[in-house]
Order: sequence, then C-alpha cells, then structure tokens
Amino acid sequence: MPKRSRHRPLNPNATLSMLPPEILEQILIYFPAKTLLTRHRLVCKRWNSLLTTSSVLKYYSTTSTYHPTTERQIRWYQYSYDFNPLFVDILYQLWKRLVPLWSKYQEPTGGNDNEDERDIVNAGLVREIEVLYLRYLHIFSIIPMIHPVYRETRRRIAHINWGEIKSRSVIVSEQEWDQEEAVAIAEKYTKEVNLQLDKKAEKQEEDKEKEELEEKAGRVVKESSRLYIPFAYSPRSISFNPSPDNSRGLLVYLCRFMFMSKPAYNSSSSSSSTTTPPEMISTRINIKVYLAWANQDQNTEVEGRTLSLLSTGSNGNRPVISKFDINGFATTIF
Amino acid sequence: MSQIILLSSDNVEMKVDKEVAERSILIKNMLEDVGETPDQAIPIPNVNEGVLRKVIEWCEHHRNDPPPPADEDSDSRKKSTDIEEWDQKFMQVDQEMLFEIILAANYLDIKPLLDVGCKTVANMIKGKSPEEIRKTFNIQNDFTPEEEDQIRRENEWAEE
Repeated sequence: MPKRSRHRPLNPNATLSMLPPEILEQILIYFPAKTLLTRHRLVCKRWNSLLTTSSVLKYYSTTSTYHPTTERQIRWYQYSYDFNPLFVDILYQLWKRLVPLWSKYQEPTGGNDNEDERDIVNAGLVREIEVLYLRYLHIFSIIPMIHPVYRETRRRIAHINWGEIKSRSVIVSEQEWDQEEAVAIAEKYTKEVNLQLDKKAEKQEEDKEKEELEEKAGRVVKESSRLYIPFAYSPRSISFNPSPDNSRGLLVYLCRFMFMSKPAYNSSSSSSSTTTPPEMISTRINIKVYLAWANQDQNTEVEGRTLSLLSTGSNGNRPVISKFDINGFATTIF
Repeated sequence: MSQIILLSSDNVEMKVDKEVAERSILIKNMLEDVGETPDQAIPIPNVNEGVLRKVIEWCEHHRNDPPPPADEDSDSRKKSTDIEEWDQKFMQVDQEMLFEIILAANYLDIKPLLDVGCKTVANMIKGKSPEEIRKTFNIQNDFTPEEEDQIRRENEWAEE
C-alpha cells in the first residue's frame, strides 16, 4: 500500500494509474519508440492499449522528435533527422543478427567448386534468414517505418514523373561485388525462398496499384499514415518487386539484400580448421534511401541518405559491427 | 499591483498577485472575460489548499518567465527530460502530491508546470523494467500469462 501523505483531503485520482490518458501520453512521449514498444507495453493493459492505439505516441515516437541521449544514438542521429529512430534500431538489431549467420555459413572448405556442398550451406542460411524475417514481420506491419507522410504528399508524389528526376532510384545497393557467381546463387535461392511471399504480396500490390490509379485520376485518397517509399525500379542485380509505401516490402528487400551481402572472409581461415575464427572480416555496405515527405510549406522534399554498415573484427568466432552510419547525400525540394 | 483572491476546493481563500495567477491560462481567460479585477474570490473547485499553495509557489517563482511558444508542435518541448534545478527541488514531493500538481496544472492550464510534472514522472520511469515501474507506481499487472507471452513474442525482434 502506498503511504498516505500528510496533506489533505486526498484526491483519489492522484495516482499514475488514474491520470487521464492524455497526460499519460505526455509522459510517455519522452521515451524512444523501442522502449515504449518493448518495455512499457508490458506494464499493464492500460499502457499496452494506449501505446498501441495512441496516434500521438505513434507519431512522436516514430519520428525524430525525441532527443537522442546516448553517445551511440547521437552519432547515428546527427545526420539522420528525418529517419525514424525505430527504423534505425530495427536495422541495427537485424544487422547484428545477420552478421553471425555469415560467419556460421562460411564458404565450405575446398573453395567454390563443390556445388552440392555450397547448395546445402546456402539452403541453411536461407532458412535462418527466413526465421529472422518472421521475427521482424510483426513490427514492420504495425509501425510506419520512416516518416508518416501527409495525405497531401501522397497525392503530390502520385503526380510526379519520377523519370524526370535523374536520381530516381530509391534503394540502390552499392556494395562492390567481386563474385558475380555468388550473386547468381544468391538470386536463385532468394527467388525460391520468396516465391511464396511474392504470391501473397502480389495480391496486395494489385490492390495498391488500383489505389494509385485512383489517386492519379484525382479521386479521394484514403487517409494513410504508413510510410512512403516510392520505389521506382528494382535495384540492380536483385530480383525485387517491392510494393509502394509498404514497410514489409522494405523488410523483404533488406533480408534479400543482406542475404547477398556475405562478408568477404579471408580465404585462409576457411581452408583451415572450422573452429578457427575468421582472421579478418571487413565489409562495408551502403544502402541509399530516398525519403519523401511534405515540409511545413506543403512542398515535397525528397532527401537521400546513405546507410552505411561496416563490419570489422570479431568477437570470439563472431564478427561484430563496428560502425553504423547514416549520412545525407542529396536534397531536392519541389 | 492588483491582487485577486482564489478559493480552493476546501474553501480556503488565498490572495495572489494578478500577474502570478495569470500564469494559469484558465484564470487569465476568466479575468479577461470579466474585464476588470473581481472583488469576489475565484473558486478553483478541483484543487485543494495544499496543492493550490504549491501551484502558486511555482507561479510566483516563474512569474517573469517568457510565455511558452504558441506552436503546439514545437519540437523543443519533446526533446529532453532535463529539469532546471529549482523545479527539480520543487518537485521533490511525495507521489500523491506530484500527481495532484500535474492534475492541477492540467486543469488550470499551466503548460510549463504540466511539462515539469510530466518530465519528473518520465525520469522516475526511465531505466526501469516493467516490474519496477509497476512497483514504483503501485500498478497492478492485469495481463494473463498468455497475453504477456504474446507481447513478448511480438518483441522478439528487439531481444539482445
């Protein structure tokens, strides 16, 4: 029982549980989305329902209006004002899980000429990535990942001729491939893994396309707070058919993309005993992301960011991420 | 300097400078509607003497603060839970008084005081596990084990 204080008369409403939801919202707004979702939802039913339904919390905690507090966050966010901090957290976690997979599924001893062995290795990796994908599916389907765009922006973007914009690609991988063959293999397996997913996604895409046509025809646009990633064309060397403004499309993309981005291990480590940790792991992957949103003057801003993931060194026999940067590289306002 | 009288919910009259009382947007609007300084006490039905004295103390100290920005969506307000030293000391009260101040600030429409209150509570929540939060604020865990499991499963992505 809480101790009764001396002052009187007691206000039975004066406990945290009894504060009206709008005040509880004002308190919880100070926390990053990740904390709200993973920790505060577990406090009680009332908090859970507030956190999953409050548009205010969803908006603030998934846009960059909270102040980064740790050094790590400050380093990430200083260039990434318009990134959804939750998205950065998620990417970080996803990446951290993918990197150990790569060390686990190293190229089999004896080089690349044993196709069967390589196939088995790749199939195992594909399965594990599938499991990872499922882990993230829920969060990607409930939270808008980049920036909730206003209805007006969606309408405007629907009218933009992306062909006139030189840098119209939305996400382009920039890793330098040294093994074209590896890419081909990755593609082959990625296709198999995602065949089922694509079938499901196809139907959704059809619905979305229909919606877009309606937008172009000037009909009423449905209110939407989901993220908008206007994918213009498939990034090079990945068979990728993303659905517009769909967070899940982005997740599928990232999983496929990371599947292909196996770090280049020092070959001497793979030919020696399997328990020997890789001597050197150094992989840098840059992902270019273009974001579009409405600014205060209701103009559309498109801004490019590079997500740079650098993995070097190892912890025991697992590689560690040493760097995760986001840098701006282009801004267009129209 | 003109003064006005406030009447707490437990019928205690308090004389305050009009300028101080006008930190409350509710009172300010009320006085503007009346047009002149009223002779009669203004009833504050939702706030008792103890809490009203605390609120007035805060308003006295902050009487010369610049008005808060009109822009509701101002980012700066959301950025940090830092609280200035005087306010920190002011908020060193028991939980019940803290929540009563927050409710009073909300009712009287004193946004900066409401913010200080919310930040104080946020700082009390910071770094705590769900169980610790429940303990601190005497909140009942009303989830069934199944419901709790479900949320944990949804949070698997974030596990270290």
